[in-house]
This record gives sequence, structure tokens and C-alpha cells, in this order.
Amino acid sequence: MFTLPVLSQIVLNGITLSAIYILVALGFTLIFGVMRIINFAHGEFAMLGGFALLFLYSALNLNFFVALLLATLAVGAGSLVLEKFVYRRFYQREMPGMIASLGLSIALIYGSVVLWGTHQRSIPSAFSGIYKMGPVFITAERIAVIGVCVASLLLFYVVLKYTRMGLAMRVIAQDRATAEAQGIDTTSIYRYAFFISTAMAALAGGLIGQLFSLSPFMGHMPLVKAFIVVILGGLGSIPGAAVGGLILGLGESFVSTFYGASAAQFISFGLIIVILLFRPEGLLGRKEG
Amino acid sequence: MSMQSIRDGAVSRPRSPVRWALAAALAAFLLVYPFLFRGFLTHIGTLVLLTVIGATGFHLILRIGLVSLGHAAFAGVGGYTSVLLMMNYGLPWIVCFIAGGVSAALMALLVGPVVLRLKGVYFVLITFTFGEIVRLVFTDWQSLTGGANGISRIPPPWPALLDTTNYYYLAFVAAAATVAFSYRLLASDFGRKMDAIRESESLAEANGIPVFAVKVAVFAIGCTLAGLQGSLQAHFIRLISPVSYSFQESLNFLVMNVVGGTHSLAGPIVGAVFLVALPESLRGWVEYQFMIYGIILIVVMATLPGGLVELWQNVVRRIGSKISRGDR
Amino acid sequence: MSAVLQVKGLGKTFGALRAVDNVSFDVGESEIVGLIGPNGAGKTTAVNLMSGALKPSTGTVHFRGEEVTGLPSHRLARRGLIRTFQATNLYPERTVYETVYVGSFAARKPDFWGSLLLTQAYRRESDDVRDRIMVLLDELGLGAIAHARAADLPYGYQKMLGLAAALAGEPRLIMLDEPAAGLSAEEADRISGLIEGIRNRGVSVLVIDHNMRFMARLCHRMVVLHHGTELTSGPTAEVVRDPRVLEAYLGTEYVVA
Repeated sequence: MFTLPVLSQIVLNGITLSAIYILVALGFTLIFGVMRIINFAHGEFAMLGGFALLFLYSALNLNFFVALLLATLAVGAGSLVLEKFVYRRFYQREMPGMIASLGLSIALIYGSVVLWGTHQRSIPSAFSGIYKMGPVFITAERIAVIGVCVASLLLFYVVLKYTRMGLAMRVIAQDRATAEAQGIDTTSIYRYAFFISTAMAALAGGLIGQLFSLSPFMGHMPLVKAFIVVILGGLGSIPGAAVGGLILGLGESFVSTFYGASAAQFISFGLIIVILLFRPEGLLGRKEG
Repeated sequence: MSMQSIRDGAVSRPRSPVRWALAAALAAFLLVYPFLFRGFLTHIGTLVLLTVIGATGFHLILRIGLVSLGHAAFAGVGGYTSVLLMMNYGLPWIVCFIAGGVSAALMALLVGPVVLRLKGVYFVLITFTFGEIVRLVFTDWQSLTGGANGISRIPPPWPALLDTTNYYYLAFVAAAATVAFSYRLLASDFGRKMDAIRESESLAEANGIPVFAVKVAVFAIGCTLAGLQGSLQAHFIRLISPVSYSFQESLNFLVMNVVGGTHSLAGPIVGAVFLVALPESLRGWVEYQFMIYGIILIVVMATLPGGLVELWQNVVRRIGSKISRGDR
Repeated sequence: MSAVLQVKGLGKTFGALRAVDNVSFDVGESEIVGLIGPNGAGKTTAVNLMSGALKPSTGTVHFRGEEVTGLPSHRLARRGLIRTFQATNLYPERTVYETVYVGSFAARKPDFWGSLLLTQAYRRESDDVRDRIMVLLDELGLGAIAHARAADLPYGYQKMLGLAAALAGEPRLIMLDEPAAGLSAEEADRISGLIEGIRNRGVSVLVIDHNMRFMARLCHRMVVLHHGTELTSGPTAEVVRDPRVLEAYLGTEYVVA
């Protein structure tokens, strides 16, 4: 059972899942860290990303990577309209913000149902190759997915770590009062953070559409995964989201291969209960207050 | 400052005749409602009354400062317990109904002491996780729960209750009892303890209030109400499945309280009316009903942070000040 | 004179930090004892240990002859050991009256069903409670603002309200954590007078403060903490002349206010 080919296949699957989970969870945790909003509509931005990719790639026949990039940017840019008219009113107000984002989530889901119906769709596979690396078979599709994720995570890291904007976001997340006293323009920083968050969700949504399927209701899965990852790593913690995503992706892949998908879900929820009880701030989070 | 006004202000709530008249008018309206609005509207009315029970339970937990996203899971425990006891063992409905409440209470007493160690957003997250685990159990324990398809053709409490109008009155009695109990609980000395805990746990503890025990008790009471609703609703809809108790349903309880208002018992009642009746009344535009519902949620949150009850209070205050100005 | 509170070898460590180490003292019947020391000496930690907010790492606490080490705050409060808080800690949305009403729960167990069903017996009892609370509020000068929300009160009144809520619990020993902090000289004098009044009713008082002048006038005996350990203790007149006490204070901050 624990042969090298099987194990390496499990690890490979796990890394693919991890990469997608991290993409979704980073945006989720960024919005919470900077704006204090638990964004229940986060999964819907992934769903919109999937449909945008479907349109650009299948209907317009663009190159897959170009279509993916355009879909990501389009959803990110479009979400700024919602930022202006909805989210901005709720920044730093956890409870009303949570409920308004829930309302938005419902509106987006059923708006999509009106536009696209409820049936499952799939994005035609862009890649057909299978490569053999030693004992491991890997599809070109997976290489592309992992590659896109790693590239965008690196970009995210660079933006957050080495740009003034990224610095400002980290300062606001640490201590908003000081940030405002220092004259940081929070309004525009919030806008950038929001764009980054929804664009990453949309990118993940496109990849989910490529690997699995699309429907207006597909946003629930990424949202729940983001929840789990973020609890594991610590709410508002960026490195925490990365570590949490790796643990969840690899763990799920391993457990579901040997014990089935529902066992994987039970274990991930059980793990969370244990973590919340003994380390509520998450593995890498810092204590609040 | 007169003694009388102190008494009205704190020990017992003001008992203005206007309030009593309003409550009596509401009760009278609810009693004749099935005759005014037959058929489908009676069905909706029944659903609203049943929802009020669970939403009130959620409200009690909210009044000690906690948001439980596992609330629907407790409704599910009550629902499945009640239905399975009736369908597998043929127990009389009243026994199943009580068992629905008791099972939810036992679950709350088991889980509560663990999850209540957490506060604030961490309590929200752990109850969310608990709710998801319960939903998984409902889905995976196929031999007992029928898996994702759930259980259908659930018998009504007794044959006469196949008639919606009769069920409406059962729901009315249950909802009225729930509201009356919760109203007195919140107005009693126990309610004062709940207020104290919500506003400062450390001071409440120093004032001799056993904070943790009160929290566990309130959590158990709130979950019991969820379980009772679960039982009543299962035998009314006559179909249960894990979807009926998902985390979205828990969120709905939260939304009802916030839309209605979190500071008074009127909040969950108004919220339940609004949130159950609104999607149903938008049924004419089936495709758009949920979309509009979502947008209304956002608008309410943006414009009325204190919920609909606050809007009403503001209107009353404005009218009141106009009248008193007219007196001068 | 028998001791109401006996503290023996009390200690608390947080990781490697010894916040409080081997502190022992008694508080007698109707006695005002001061726990004094410069900022960071471990005074508030000591109060938290004695009042049940924290569990001690070492040592024992006896209250009225019974061991109460590590009991939770609410059980201590119901036995008659009640504390106040250094920072303003009130129920912000409650009125003055409601706050003190909740404070009275330490002294009585309200009848749950009576209160729920508003029985005659319960109503009679709550009339008595109301009268007692109004008397207490008038004594403390809070009667006129019984309806004001706690959060809306000026700071001095908030401190007074914290004291009133503790007194409503009818303590045998009251622990006051910095009762005069942030108050004007006149307000501090008023608090001093009140504390003496409390003591004259037979309540023992443990006052925690770093203000030497305020404490020297008020306390019968003093325990001086420095870096978590007991520097010295004894009658106030001796303690204030102790050169080590002066040094501890001069070394950190000289309090003459």
C-alpha cells in the first residue's frame, strides 16, 4: 500500500489541492486581517472566476493562460464595484459586515443561476499530455495548475513583503489606529487589498473549474476550505494560511486515498476542534487583545 | 428621583397599557389568521411560527454575547431524534417531541462545556465546525438517517394534523409558549445575570455570578428550543435531509436576529417573519426571489445597524416627541 | 482579634517570570490593611490570586477559617470576599441601579422560579432589595443618577459605582484595587472617608495602591511588595519610616502626590 508510486501520487495530489486552498485562503485571511470582514461571499468570487474563464477560453477561444489572466483581472476589477457600494460601509464592523457579505453571497449565487442556470459545466481540458517522472505519472494539467499557483503565490509574497502598499497592509492589520495616525491612506489600501483578495479567489475558481466542474453553487467548497485553513493557521495570519493550506491539502489527499473522502472531512473538522480548543489563535496566529 | 420610576426602570419592565394592547392585538390577529388567509398563506404562517421558536433560542444565546453557527445542527438532532423514534419505534408524538428537545439539550450539555471555553469570533468558528461535523454524521450514517436523501413521508403528529390549519394552531401554541417563557426569562433576575455576563464577564464573576454555569445553562436552553423546532418542523414539512440543517440554516438564525434587532426579544420574531415570509412572498418572481432577498439583507445592514426593531422604536420615539411637543 | 484573611507563601509564576513570590500576611476583623508597592511590584497579580481570578502556583489562602485557595471568584464572592477592579470595569449599558442590583447577587440567591413567575413572595422580597439599594446609593451620592447608564458617567462616579456594586454584595472582606487611581485630591479624600465608614460597619478592607500618602493615612497595617516579594510589613507608622521602603520607592518613582 505504501509504495513509492502511491505515496508520491498522494503527495502530488495533495500539493495540487494545497496550492488551490492556499490561493483561496490567502485572500480570505487578507480581508479579515486588514478590513476585519469575514467575507462569506469569498467563494462566489471563485465561482465568478470560473465562469469568466469558461467564457474567455471556451467561447472566445483565447489561449488558456491569457484567458486565465484576463478572467482573474476581470473579476478583481469588477469586484471593486461591490467594494465601493457594499463592503466599504462595513469595514471594521465584524458582525454587520459578516451578514452583508452573506447577503451578497446569496445575491451573486442566484444572480448566476438566472444567467447560467443550475447545471454543472466543465471547462474543456486545456492540456492533454501525461509525463512520467521516475515512478510518478503527472498530467500536464496538474503541472500547469501547480505552476500557476506557485507563480501567483510568489507574486503575492513579493507584493506584500517588498512594496509600500504591502507594507501598509501589514501595518493596518497589526494596528489600524497607528496606521491612520501615520497618515496611511486606508481607503486606497483597502481597495488594493480587496482587489488582490478577489482576484486570487477568481484565479482559484478558474483552476477548480479546470480540474473539477462549474456551477453557481460551487463557491461553498472553497469557502469552507478557506475557513478550515484559516482556523488551522490563525485568522488574519498570512504564513498561517500557507501552512494551514499545506496541512489540509496533503492531509486530505492522504486520508481520502486510504479511508475515503468523508473520513478526510471528519478528520479535518476534528483537527480544527482540537486546535481551536488548545490554540485558538491558530498554529501561527498571534493572540488577540 | 422617585422610587416608582426606579422600580419601573430596573426591577421589572414598564408595563404600559399600550404594550399589552399591542400584544393582545397581535395574539388575536394570529388566532384568526388561518381564517383570513387560507391555504398557502397558512402554510407560510405555520413556518414563521415554527421558525420563531428556533430564532428565539438563538436570541437567548446571543444575549450572553455568543453567536452559535451550530444552531441548525441542534435543530437537526431534535428533528432526526423525533422522526426516528416515531417511525422506527412507533412512539406517540408527544414523547417524540419531548425527546427532540431533550436530545438537543443533552447534546448541548455535552458540547457546551467544551465550546464555551472559547469567546468571540473563535466561538463562532468552533460552533460552525461542530455544525459541519453533525451534518456529516447525518449524511454518512446512511442506515439510520437515509444519507443525503434524508427521510421522507414522515407521519404528522396525529392524523388530524395533516390539515395545515390545525398544525398552524399547534405551532402557535408552541411559539407563544416559547416567547412567553423567553420574555419572562430575560426580564427575570436570571436575565440580569445574562446581561451582566454579556457586558463584563470578569465583573459578573466578581459579583458572585457563576459565569460559566450560566453560559452552559443558556446554551442548553437555546439549543433545546432549536431541537423542539426541529421536531415540530420535521413532522410539518414531512421531509428531512442534511440540507435542512446546514450551516446556511444556522446563518439564517443569525440573520433573523440581526435584521430584526439583537437587543430585544422582538428582534428574532420580526426577523423570522421577514426572513421566512419575504422569500416566499417573492415567489411570483421565482428566479429573482433569492437575489432580491440577498440585496435586501445588504440594504438593511447598511441602513439599519440596530435592525428593524430599532427602526420601529425610532418611529415611535419621533411620534412620541411630536405629541409631547404638541401638549406644551 | 482573629484573622479574616490569612495568606501563606502565596506565589505565581508565568513561564520563567515570578510575578509574586512567597507573600504572607493576615487581615484581621475590622482592619484596613494596605498592600503597597511601586508599579510592577505584583500587587494586582496578588489580588487576582486571592480573589480567584488566577490560580496560585504556591501557597494557601484561608478566608474566615476555611481554605479557599484556587476557588473561582464567584464562589469567593458568595462567601463574602469581594474585589473591585483597578481599571474601570463596569457593565457599560446597565444603569447605576441595575449595576448595583447585580452586585447584590453575591449576598442573596434570587429565587429563579419566583423571579420568572413574579410570585407575591418574590415581589415583596424585591421591594426590600430595592429599598436597601436606594439607601446604599444615597449614602454613596449616587441616588440622583440611579437611572444613568454606567458608560455615560464621569470617571469619579464610575469608580464610586464599582465600589457600590461590591458593597451591595455585603462583603466580609473587600479588596479594593487602586480605589483612588486617577481621582482628584478631594475625590480621593472622599474615598478615604468611605473606606473608613465601610470598616466601621465591621467589614475588613484590603487596599491596594502605590500612592504612599493616601495609604499612610488610611491603613492600620501595610504589606510592602517589591519585585513580587514581600519587602516588609507591619503597622503603618513603622513601615513608612523603614529606609528600605523609601529606597524601593525612590529607586523607581517617588510618589508624594
